[in-house]
Amino acid sequence: MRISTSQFYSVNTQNILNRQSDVNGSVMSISEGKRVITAGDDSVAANSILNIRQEQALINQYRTNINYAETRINVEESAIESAENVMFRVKDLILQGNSIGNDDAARDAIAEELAARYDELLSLANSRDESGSYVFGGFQTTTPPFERQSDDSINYVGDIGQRETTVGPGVQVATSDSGQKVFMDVPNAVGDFKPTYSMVAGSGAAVDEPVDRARVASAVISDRSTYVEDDYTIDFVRNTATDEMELTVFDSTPTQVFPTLPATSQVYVAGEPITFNGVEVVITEQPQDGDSISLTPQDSVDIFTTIQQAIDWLKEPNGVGIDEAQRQLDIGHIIGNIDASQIKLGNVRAEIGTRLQLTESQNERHLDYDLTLETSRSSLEDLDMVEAISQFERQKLALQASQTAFSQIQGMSLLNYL
Amino acid sequence: MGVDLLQLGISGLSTAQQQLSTTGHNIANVNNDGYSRQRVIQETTTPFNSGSDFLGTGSKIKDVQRVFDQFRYNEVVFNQSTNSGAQTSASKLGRLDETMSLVGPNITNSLNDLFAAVNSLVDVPGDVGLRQVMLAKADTLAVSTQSMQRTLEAEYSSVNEDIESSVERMTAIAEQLARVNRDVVTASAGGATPNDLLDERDNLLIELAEFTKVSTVATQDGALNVYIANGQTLVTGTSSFSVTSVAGSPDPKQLQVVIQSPSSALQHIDGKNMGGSVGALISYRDGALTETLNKVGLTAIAIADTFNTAQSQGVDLNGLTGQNLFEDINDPNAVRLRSLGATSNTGTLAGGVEITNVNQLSGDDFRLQYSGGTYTLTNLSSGQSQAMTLVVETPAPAVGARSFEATSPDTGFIFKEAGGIPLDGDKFELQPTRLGASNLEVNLTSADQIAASSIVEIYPSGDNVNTAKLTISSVDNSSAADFPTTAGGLSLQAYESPVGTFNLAMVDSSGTAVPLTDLSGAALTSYSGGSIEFQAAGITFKLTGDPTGQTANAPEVYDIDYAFGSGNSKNMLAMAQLTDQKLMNNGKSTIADVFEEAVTNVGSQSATANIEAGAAQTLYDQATARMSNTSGVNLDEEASNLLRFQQAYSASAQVISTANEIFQTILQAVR
Repeated sequence: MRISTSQFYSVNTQNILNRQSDVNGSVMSISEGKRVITAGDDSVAANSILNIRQEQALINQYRTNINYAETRINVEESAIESAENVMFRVKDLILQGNSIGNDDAARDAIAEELAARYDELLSLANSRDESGSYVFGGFQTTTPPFERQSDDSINYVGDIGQRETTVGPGVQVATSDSGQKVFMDVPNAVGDFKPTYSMVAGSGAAVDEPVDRARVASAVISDRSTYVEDDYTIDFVRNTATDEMELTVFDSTPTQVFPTLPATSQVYVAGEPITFNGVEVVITEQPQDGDSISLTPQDSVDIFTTIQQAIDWLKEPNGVGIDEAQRQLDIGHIIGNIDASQIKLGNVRAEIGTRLQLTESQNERHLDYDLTLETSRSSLEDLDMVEAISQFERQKLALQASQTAFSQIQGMSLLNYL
Repeated sequence: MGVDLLQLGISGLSTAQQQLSTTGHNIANVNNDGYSRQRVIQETTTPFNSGSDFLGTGSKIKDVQRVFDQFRYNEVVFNQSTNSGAQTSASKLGRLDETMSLVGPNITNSLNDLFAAVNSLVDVPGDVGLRQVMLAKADTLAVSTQSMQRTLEAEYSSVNEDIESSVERMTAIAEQLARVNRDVVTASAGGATPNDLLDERDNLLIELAEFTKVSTVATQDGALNVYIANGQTLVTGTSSFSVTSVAGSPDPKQLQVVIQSPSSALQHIDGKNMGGSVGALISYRDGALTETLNKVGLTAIAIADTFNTAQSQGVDLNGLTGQNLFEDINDPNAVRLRSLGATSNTGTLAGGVEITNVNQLSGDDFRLQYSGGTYTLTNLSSGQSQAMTLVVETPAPAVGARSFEATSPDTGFIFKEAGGIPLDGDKFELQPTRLGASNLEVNLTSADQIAASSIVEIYPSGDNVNTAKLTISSVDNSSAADFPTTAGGLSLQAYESPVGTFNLAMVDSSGTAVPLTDLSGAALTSYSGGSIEFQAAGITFKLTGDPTGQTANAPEVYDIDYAFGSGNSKNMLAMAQLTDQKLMNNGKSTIADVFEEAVTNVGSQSATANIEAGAAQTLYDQATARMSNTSGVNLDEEASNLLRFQQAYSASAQVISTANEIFQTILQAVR
């Protein structure tokens, strides 16, 4: 076959240029360490790589969010842990104050310390995080959520908002609890009503007055569909004929709601539930003729009021007779509510623990997933160095070969021999 | 009389001389790419009839031919067009691929950064510093998107410039071809072949074939008629037409190629089918580049719309309803620029395109044609057509102020008449997303204005016995009557009675009933279970699960309270979740997906173009090699010819010398 001279040169030059371009491509890939530099290098892989990168960005975001959330949760947890410690001390103090043998002065001293604990608790409830936001204000984070009123009662001015952060696809974790929930909404130890006792003095001597007078063990709304919201009064009357204690329940009108008419009263049996208007009340211990207990709806009590009641109780002198009976009922009620407060704080802390578990498990999941993604991204995008370098060597050899061949052949021309 | 030996020697001498000089011509043109080697065709002169025999009288030159294979040449011309088109596509797409792959990540990264800033505000919504960061990140996103748009628009202009300079060169070539035709006709009048002129003409055609498909028809007088694209005449005989570019219609930026005959009638050339580099440029500009511009615009519009909508659902640090984070996507100016009227329109109507649903928006361009009172909308990508339907408004607007929507399929926008009157045959091009990216600008001026807080929150009562869930679909009007305020909120009560009927009632904080309506505006008091959406006090709610409750006396209760607070980050939380929500492409893609789809789309087109370019290059190389193998000069061959003709020359000289010796012998004999 005949080949034109210029074709011979241009083909050979082109060959060398092609080999050079191959080598250059390999050098670029090797120096970038990537197989796919632009989408055009492998558009199918590029699509997956972009998706994986986006997914990894999302995972990084989740992990950052988890850090945020854990910081918030830890701040809240440490405040609640301190509050729990305060409450342990509060309970100790109250029990101490209630022990027989304390004179008024000793109880005053205990009341003093209790007041200090009260302040400590208030300051914990108004604690702030590193950004200066009030931890327990709900959404109202710029003003102290708990305000002490002139009558020493506490007013919660925050709201019940709860912040959340996204820590996984479709997974939100709460990062705050409102002060309302933590400190104000302590379930009433008795149930849904607050009992107030009106006791008549017994027939015996004041000192013989029984200390354990009838008290409400529980008063709950047992059936909301028939519940009628009202204040109820339970009157105890001794049936002189049978010498048995009998009770009647009236609403605020006052209309008899228990027992059902025509019966006007029912024999009292300690610990036996009585049910009316969707309410179930259990009364224990022994009432006296003429005693009456009124029930006002109250489903929660706040920690501060409970402690304040304890302080006030401690400051009162020891009573005798009927007064002491009343005082014992009161302190029983207070201690019940202190217990309820401790349980409440414990519950909130347990809830927080669950949240931390969630963030940790999400974090682990993200780490695992990130590793999986990274592996597939790397296999799609990164260069197999061994293969690339051996290819580079081959291409280098080919370039050298075409250069050598060309340089040896190009000198051969018949014209040299003329 | 015998043969004149001297004359015979001279004929050989001059023949050899001619052959030597042709060989010299060949050697001189060894590196002339378009040169066809020439060879001398030698023939015997008329023999002398001596009566009994014919005696040879020597040799003469019959012709100087160029060694040329028309078929191989045609192959080169054809492959030149294909190859030049394929190379142009590959290089243009390769550049676009680089732009999208290497610069494109700026957009997705900026978007991720913005979401990161949103997430940090979820954590500390009241922090003004972090709010400032979010605004800065939004600005970075806007700037990178705009810069991508500018890069692509610069590319668009540069393609147009390439087209302009190409058509100029084509006109120049046409003029040269006409001139060469004239010279060839003149030169070949005597019957000789003007080899070098033919080479010049063939080379001009090869150059012309770079720009477009070329076909030729030879005429008897030696001229060549040249046709380009799909048979449009460029050169007839000795006259040429000019190729120019004119502004497109309806889109003036879309330059069109036209042929202008000497009689001045413009003839449009279908650019996409004209082949060669110009065809490739037009296909690239109207294809991949336009698509990419539209997708970047779509991404920008989606970003703006998504964040703006999210903002409107919350309240800022001052307790005011959130304003647009980015400029409104339906800014009047943007609306107007999305519709382009054709220059041929006889009516006066101006139009606009208002985007109504980003989820349905495709990034395609549309043609709108008015005829007989109906607007017909054609998707320029899919070719799908549909009649647009009038959007009913009260009072009914006059012609020139109406709106039309596309319903099957929903295209995500409405066409708005903006004054004037349409007449039959009027055409518009609608480009809903083309300029989207250039309109992406941060609207908020102060960090306070980020609406991190939700306006209202729903708190289910702790006494609820079911898991039915009430959520807020959207806050439509925060100044509606009964809208929750600091003074008091609302409360939804729900219970089942009788079985299968769920009763709903909304009351305000004082216990007064607040009217509930379904989405069509009809009063709502009960429904039959499942999921339901309803409205009250300017809010759209969604209730899922069955709120059975415990009779009318103890219904399920959901408190709906005003929730603004500097620590409220619920709206930011909702905004942060937009990152992986499939808000686009009919619920199939996230915002980032749409952009990435554009990146990989360009990548795969570029890869295809590269493969095609490789194949075209091989075919072209083979064709030129074949032609060169026939017509090119080989120096070894010429060297051997040089020897051959030199020897013939010497031999002929020897004949003359012999003739001389014979003559001398005779002279000696007679002396």
